[in-house]
Amino acid sequence: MITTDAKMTDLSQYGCNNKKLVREVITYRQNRKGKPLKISREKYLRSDINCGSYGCQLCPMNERSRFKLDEDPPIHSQKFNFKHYLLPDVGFILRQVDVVDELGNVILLQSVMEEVWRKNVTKYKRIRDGTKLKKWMYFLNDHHCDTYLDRHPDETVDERNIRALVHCYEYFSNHFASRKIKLVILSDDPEFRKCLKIENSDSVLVATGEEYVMSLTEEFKGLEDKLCRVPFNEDEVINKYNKGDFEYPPHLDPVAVQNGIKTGKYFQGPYRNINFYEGSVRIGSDIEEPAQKKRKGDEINLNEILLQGLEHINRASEGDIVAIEILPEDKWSVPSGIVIVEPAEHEPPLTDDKIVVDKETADPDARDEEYRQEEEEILEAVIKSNKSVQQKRRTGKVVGIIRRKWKPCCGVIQRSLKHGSNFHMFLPDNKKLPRVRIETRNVDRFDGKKIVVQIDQWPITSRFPIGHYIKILGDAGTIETETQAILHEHGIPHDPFSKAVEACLPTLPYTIDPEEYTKRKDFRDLVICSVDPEGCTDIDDALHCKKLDDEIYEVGVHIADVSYYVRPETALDEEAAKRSTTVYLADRRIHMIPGTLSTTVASLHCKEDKLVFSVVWKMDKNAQILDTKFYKGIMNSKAAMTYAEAQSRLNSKTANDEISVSLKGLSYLAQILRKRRFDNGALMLSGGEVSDDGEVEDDCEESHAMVEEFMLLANCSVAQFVLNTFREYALLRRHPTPPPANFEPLLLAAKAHNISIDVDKGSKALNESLERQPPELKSILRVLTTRCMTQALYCCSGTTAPDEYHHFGLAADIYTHFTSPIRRYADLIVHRLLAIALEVEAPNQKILDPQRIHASCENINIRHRMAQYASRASYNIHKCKMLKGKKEVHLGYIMFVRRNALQIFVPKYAMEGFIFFPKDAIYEYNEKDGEVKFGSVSFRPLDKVTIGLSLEEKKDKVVFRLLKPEVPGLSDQPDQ
Amino acid sequence: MAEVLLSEEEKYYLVLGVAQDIRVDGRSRLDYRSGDVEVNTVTNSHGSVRIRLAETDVIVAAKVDLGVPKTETPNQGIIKFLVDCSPTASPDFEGRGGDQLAETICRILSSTYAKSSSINLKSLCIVPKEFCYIVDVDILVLQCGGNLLDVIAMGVKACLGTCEIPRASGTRYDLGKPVPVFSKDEFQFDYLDVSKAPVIVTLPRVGRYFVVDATLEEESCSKGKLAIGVAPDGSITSVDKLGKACYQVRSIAASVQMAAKVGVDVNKVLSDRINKLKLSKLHSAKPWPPKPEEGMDVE
Repeated sequence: MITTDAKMTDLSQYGCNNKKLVREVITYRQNRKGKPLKISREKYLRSDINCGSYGCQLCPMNERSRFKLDEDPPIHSQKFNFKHYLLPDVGFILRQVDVVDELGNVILLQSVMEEVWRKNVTKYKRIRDGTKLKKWMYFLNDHHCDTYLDRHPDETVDERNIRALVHCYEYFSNHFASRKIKLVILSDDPEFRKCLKIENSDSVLVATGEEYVMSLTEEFKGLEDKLCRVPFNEDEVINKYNKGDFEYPPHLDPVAVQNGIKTGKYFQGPYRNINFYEGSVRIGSDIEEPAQKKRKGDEINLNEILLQGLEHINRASEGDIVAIEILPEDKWSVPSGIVIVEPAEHEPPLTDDKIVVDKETADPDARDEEYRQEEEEILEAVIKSNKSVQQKRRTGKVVGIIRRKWKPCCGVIQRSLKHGSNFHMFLPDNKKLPRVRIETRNVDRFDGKKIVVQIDQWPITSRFPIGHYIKILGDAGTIETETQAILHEHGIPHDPFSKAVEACLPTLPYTIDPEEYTKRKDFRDLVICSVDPEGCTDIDDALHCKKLDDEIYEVGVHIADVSYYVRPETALDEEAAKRSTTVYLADRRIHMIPGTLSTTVASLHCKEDKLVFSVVWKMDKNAQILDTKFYKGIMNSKAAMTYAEAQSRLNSKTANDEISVSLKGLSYLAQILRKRRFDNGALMLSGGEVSDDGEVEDDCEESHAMVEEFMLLANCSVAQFVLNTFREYALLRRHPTPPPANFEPLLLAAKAHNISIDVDKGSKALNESLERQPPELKSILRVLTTRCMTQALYCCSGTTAPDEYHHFGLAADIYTHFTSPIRRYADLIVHRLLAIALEVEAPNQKILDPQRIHASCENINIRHRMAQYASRASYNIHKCKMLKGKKEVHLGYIMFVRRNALQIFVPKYAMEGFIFFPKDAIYEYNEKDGEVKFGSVSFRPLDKVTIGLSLEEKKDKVVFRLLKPEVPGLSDQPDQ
Repeated sequence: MAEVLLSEEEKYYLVLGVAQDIRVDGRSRLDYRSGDVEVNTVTNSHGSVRIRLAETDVIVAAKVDLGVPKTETPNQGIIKFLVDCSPTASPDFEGRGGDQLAETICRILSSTYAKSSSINLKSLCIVPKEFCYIVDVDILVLQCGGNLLDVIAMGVKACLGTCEIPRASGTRYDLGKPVPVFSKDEFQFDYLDVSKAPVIVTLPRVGRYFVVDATLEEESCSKGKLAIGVAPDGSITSVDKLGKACYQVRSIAASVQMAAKVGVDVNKVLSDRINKLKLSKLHSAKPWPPKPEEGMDVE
């Protein structure tokens, strides 16, 4: 051991009393193989850690000093009516974290916080994050030479920590004595005072949470609600959830899991939830299967491992990365095909007092019983199916969870039926997530509210995970709240733009820098016009077409030059990168870049000079490209039209003004391009809205197609050019070929209707086989096909294999996004890359970096997906509102036949729902063909049905009722 | 073995001195030189001592590992020795020079600790046939100033006596097989019982007399020496002959008697020292071995 007497002399000037400044810290560990290790480190105690109080004259000052505590702490407490700082202990932080959140002038000791971390990481993080902003001092008492304490051999860690706390209390009391500031220890433990092993322990100021909070003045009125009032020794936070007969198998420790994965015993993959009792894990393709054992069709399910039953799912929840073990073949199974009825539907109305009183004692058990029944029901169904189905799926069980994907989720509270219980059930909006048990002492405030809950842990003895509430969004069911919930749920950044971002914006009224006129190509004389949906304010593309001579057309696509305004490495750029996309909700838009830019400065409004990035082709009359050029230009739009306006110009035979001529030229070329594209095998996909007769309705199809065609062409040209220039750095959009397994529902439906669809021969064959189908099925088949698709993704050419570049849906070898920089960040990156490729801008190392582009792509992909989900969810809410008080009758299609329900799609609203079979109904379910028979009436996928839609007022839920075909016991009468 | 070159006159002077019971440094034939034991010199090992006896300077460090018992002794742990005669200790150790000596010392130590009842090896067993502690004792000779073997033997005993054996506190499952988990508490460990462990007394014959704790010079005056293991109760655990000399039965008997007498004293001094060192570490180690049911409970 090193002695530091020499150093001592220098340090004594700080009043440092601790003689030994170097400690040997010994820890025992165990390595992977189980070898015990003794690790010895030297710990250098410091004398330059300051107390964090403003105005402290005693502490040494240096550049690392942080000041968090008020010089004159305000007095809020009637009982402790003197200046004081607070010193909470471990139990207090764990129990009263909500209270701590609201208090100021708190000293958090390192030794206390480390203990909190060991006990509850979530709460630790919450407090730790708070130290950045709040008046909380994180005091490193284990490094401070005056407050460090060695652990005695006969002392437990807890005892040492209490001693350290008291030691700090004494240290601070002396330290602040001259400034008349006292310390108050916060501890809920009634035995705390007895634990103090010091003289005159009675003079130590100790308060329990209740004592302290109740003594606070009016200002802190709301704090009483947040107080945890359960007696300390009965607190479930402290003595954990050891209740009930239910227990999950333990998870293996991470080392064992990693070893198992390495040796091929376990497999790793993300968990997808089918319902609470069933799920699947898609694992990497490294299962080695002897060739002779392979059967036809095996490939489909080879990597999709089924998990059934709570015991096998073993606390995995949606999205978690789990390690699974595959069960022996005789335990393989098939999915049950049961749709779980939402819990709220088969329970007595919770607000009805009578029922609650009746069942008061028995009910909690009854509910448990219900859950058990649910599981049994599923397993029973599985046994049934197992008998009838020959080919079984690989089935496995979870042995460990590698990474949790628990994010805050929105939902509503379902009160516990047990009166006065502090545990309640939380029902997440996202039905893929499990119900969550949350603990609250004041459940009334959650009544009818939509709240955000974070899942914290899933104890081995608890059927459901345990979480805590984060915030109340508002009254459940209102559009505002639901929209908030959607944004929250999908992690969409929707705060107003920060000052730093605003500072990057050009000032209004904006005039273009005169220098730009000399540098840029002048397109102002050309007849350029834009065509957009009605009410569009952020116009990012415009077109022109000019006939050079009889054979040659000049066609230009002009895109708003957003990259000119959004410079790399500014706050604006960072914010845009974070948002990645503009999010379109039913009633609002969440901009990627502030409105000043997106709707005013950059947007290509009519009759204004605008900066653009243009692609100009020379084409012959067969729409063959002769020449492609890219320019940074300046243009002046002659007309900003809606699709309908453009269409009317196209339809008019007489119109021969220059705009119409230009449009007609464009349309002519677009039609050739479009035909060529579909001949090449591009897919026609459909998002859903189909009219009653099953045909896509579009009055403005021609103008739509015209714009779309040229945008696609521009994107392809840019992709080609950028990739040719930068092999490594191009940002591409790829659409992977969907694996055959994805098409299973489509094939099942096709089989039911005796039609054949080629799914495994590429997009062209798929498209043609869809085109061959009877007209009444065509569009619904397209909807179904669209759902079988994989997601298109952004990728960086340098980090993706070249054979994965292709775009399946467009049947293009390479593709990118260039045409909407106002609302997509990917386009912005492509703009920058193109500018560098054209040498109009200087190369920037930070842009030309495959890793950076790759990282951006990952983020953009996630954001895009979330934006889509959010948008869909938002439209669904609005559709619900539209149905309020109405009963509508619509045509619907059966998408899937489940064991206990039909999944129905209503094209009018692109809405989906279930028609559950009554429990006592007699029917035949044919697993293999996905068919169900009610007496003489059979239901197959893609069958047309007539559906009654109405809104269930209380829950804001759309109810589907089957009207035709009429089946006794299943269908309703329209007038009911 | 490290040798110093002496002239005939020097040797004669030395031998005559021994005959008169006054050695060059003033000791009598049964006197030891002064020395010291220091613990925890290698902080990352479970037990380590640095032992010095006049110029002789040795570091002994023990690391505890988890292993499988040998099939012939399924309920015993294992102690392994490795001696490294560093070239800094003596020029003779350069290259492979020290290897033979190191091997000899290893052999003597292994036979002493493996066969005799010196240490209860059963206490190093965790699960019979499955898991046991393996104590790796590394011996590094820093300087050789005579009487190396005795110093090493004392060092080993002190090292084992102060070695902190981590306490097995439970089991964890690795691939379905239970693996012992050791306590992470820095104060939870056990000591080996070395109260019966022997020391070695090496007796070179200088002229007609045996001396204890010979210096390098005295060693170079003798043709051979007897290394005698002595347990604390005075019983002889081993007798090894080093060097080329041959002995009469009578002189062997005399030397053994002499070693037994000296050995008891050495053991006593060493044991006191070990106990003091343990106390200085301030702990309340629980009696060893732990009862079989404790610590092996499956969680």
